[in-house]
Amino acid sequence: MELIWEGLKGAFKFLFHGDPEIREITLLSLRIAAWAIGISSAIGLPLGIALGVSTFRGRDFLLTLANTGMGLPPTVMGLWVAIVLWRTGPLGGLKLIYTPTAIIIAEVILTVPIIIALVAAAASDKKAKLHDFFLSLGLNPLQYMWLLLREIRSSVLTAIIAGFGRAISEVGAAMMVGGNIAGETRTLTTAIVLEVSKGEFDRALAISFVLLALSFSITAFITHLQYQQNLK
Amino acid sequence: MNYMFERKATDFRDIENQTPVIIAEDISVRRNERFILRNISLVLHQGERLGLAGPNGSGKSTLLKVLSLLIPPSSGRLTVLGFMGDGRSSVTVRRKMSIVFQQPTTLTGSVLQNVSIPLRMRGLSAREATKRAYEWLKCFDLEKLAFQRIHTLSGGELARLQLARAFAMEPEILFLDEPFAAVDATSRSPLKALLREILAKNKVSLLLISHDFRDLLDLTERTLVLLDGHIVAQGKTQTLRIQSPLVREIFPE
Repeated sequence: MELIWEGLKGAFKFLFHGDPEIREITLLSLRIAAWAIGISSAIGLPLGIALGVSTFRGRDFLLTLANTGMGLPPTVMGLWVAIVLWRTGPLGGLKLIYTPTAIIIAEVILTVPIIIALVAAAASDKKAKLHDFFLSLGLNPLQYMWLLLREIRSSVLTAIIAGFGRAISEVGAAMMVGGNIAGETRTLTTAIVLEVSKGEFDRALAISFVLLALSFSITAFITHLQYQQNLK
Repeated sequence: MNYMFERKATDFRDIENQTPVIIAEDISVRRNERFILRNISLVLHQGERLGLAGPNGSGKSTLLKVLSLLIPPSSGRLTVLGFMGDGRSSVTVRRKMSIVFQQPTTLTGSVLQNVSIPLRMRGLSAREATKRAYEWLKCFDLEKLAFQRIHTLSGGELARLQLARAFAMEPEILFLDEPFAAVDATSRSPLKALLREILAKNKVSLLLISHDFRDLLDLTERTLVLLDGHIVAQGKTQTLRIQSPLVREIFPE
């Protein structure tokens, strides 16, 4: 109990004085999450809609793959990415290991299945209800996609929230491919692990509060957007 | 309410000489070894109003979807507004037709958007689309609800909205599948009268499915009766009940 109390007091002291290291770590985490979400949405949205709407033979298999990908243990995936990116590994020449880019790559691989699966489910559901209607309107394929996308806006935002949540809370893969290097690849989550292992509970708590606040406010913002859209 | 888009007027005194807008020759629709429609042949002329009747499962909705180019026929020949209906893409022809489905179909957004968005998709400018959408909402007594969210509408209001949207697209052929199911008895007659007026003024061809024979009497000149995917009776709607014992059975009064 003493530990927790001391930790909380120390945490507020750090936050109040605006520790520069914590600020740096926060910005890095945000940058990485933003890139990861941006790239996975760019890949996942069109793929998700395409899979949700189409009826070709391999479709069910690909959807199952995406769903399985959602349950992929991040640490295992991190290990595989690390192996590929190591200097002695197949893509070692790119010198990506232990850089923020490597963390972004790992997080994209983790988040794309979520976005594909959720968007595909929503698109498939809407299509079933609206296909005949859309056809009767005489829409060309591009208009069809646009209108369908418009109808699944809410689900797309849910997918982004889910993806963001996964990206920002990632620690195992981030450790392995990033290396938790101070000033380079130390994210909020990896920093927490480090501080705890050093016994610096007040710093760890401070960082955890930042992470909580960040995660909460971004999720709340996107959810607010959803409610705005949702008042159909 | 007149279509805002100019159309060539035609003489209606002699229906037999009118241009056919739909020609179906020996159409069949098969799904998984089962025949949903068999040997359907019919002609719909410009400005003509045709009813489609029959018990549940007789294939009426499927026939409507085939004639409106949503489903290609498994065999037979179909020509709609001069276009061969064999499954090929038909965006231009589809834009000359409107369908009101049994289950109301809505887009997320306001009531006005539900009419204006399809118009925008057809190339109207934002201003034109909004203006035309509003005019048609007014025609169906929905203008006060224009900015309400679509999910707040009652069943009857939704039904009128489907019709407003269908007409806003100024179709040459209108397909209605049980359009009055959610409309209460007292509102039906004035709505049907409004429909008759709009159809006549704009020389629109109509295909109407209804369980209620009164709807068919009020809105159609001829009716086809389907049973198990076949046409089993057809004739002038007014005299069909007298003519056909089968019709009397399906529509007891």
